[in-house]
Amino acid sequence: MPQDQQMNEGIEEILEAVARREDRERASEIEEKTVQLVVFAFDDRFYAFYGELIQEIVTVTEIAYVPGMPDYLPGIINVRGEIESVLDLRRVFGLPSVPLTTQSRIVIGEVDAVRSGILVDSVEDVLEVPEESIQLAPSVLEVEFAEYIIGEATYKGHNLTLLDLKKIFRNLLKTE
Amino acid sequence: MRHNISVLLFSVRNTLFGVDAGQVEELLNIEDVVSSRPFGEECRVRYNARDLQILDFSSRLQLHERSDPWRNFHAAPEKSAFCARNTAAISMLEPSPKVLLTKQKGEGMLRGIYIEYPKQLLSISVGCIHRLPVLMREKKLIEAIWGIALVEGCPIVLVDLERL
Repeated sequence: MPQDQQMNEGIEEILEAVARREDRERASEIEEKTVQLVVFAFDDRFYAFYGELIQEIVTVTEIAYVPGMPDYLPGIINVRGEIESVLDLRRVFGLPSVPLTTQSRIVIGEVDAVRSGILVDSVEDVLEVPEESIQLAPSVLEVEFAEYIIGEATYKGHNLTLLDLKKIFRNLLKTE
Repeated sequence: MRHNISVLLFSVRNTLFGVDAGQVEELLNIEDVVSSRPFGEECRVRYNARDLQILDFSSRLQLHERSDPWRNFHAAPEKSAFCARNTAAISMLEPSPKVLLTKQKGEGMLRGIYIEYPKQLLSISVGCIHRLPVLMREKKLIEAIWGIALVEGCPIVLVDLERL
């Protein structure tokens, strides 16, 4: 076989291998659709909201009290000239409030034009996870606020519970 | 078009409130109207030959029932200087609780409201006045609260005296 022909065949093989690898990678990307999560700690456990629903994360400055609100709405904050309500997730879930700490954060969430700050014990991470890694285990359906749970994943060896912010806002807006 | 409103600022239980100064007739000294009664006790008295009903701002806004762990938090580094100055117990006007006499439209009974410390009369641009956030608009239990004024970064709860 002439040397030129051998070389051309070798190049073709390499190009085919590259094409196959790219096809595999594309297929893998399609299969592994990822979602962004904002991970926060709350009541000594890890929880998350979908990152696309979180506008920003702010440190807790002064929460100005607004009278005559349900106890899960303790007040408002000023975020660069905008007034945001503060939602105490503990109260929404029927847990007692705890004093704020320097780790406390307010995540500003927005769903369907409803926007509010949500008070959490700390924000731990913002990460991308494969969508398929979030699954709804039967055990989570037994917790008190199961109706707000979308699913669970694993984060640093611990359970991470993904919460449904849309449902939280929607239920709060319902007439009691 | 109105670009500014005049707001009387006062504090009750360390919280700042503002009312449209146009709704206020006068600030009365407690001893001139209810000298023999405990502060905050709602009552009806005679004042300037007319009946005066006095309401307690604190109980009308359910401030007695307040319990908040937020007061234990002292790590906030960005507390507005305006807030700090105006929630201090010493008034810039007069350091004593007052009865706020509301402006009366007709000849009926006069209406007064116990407040604690009057602070300032402010002219606030309407651009600094915000509606309550949507969750609060839907869930509020007190109709009299109609908005929030943001003055020097400090949120002030605006109250309609006629709906108190």
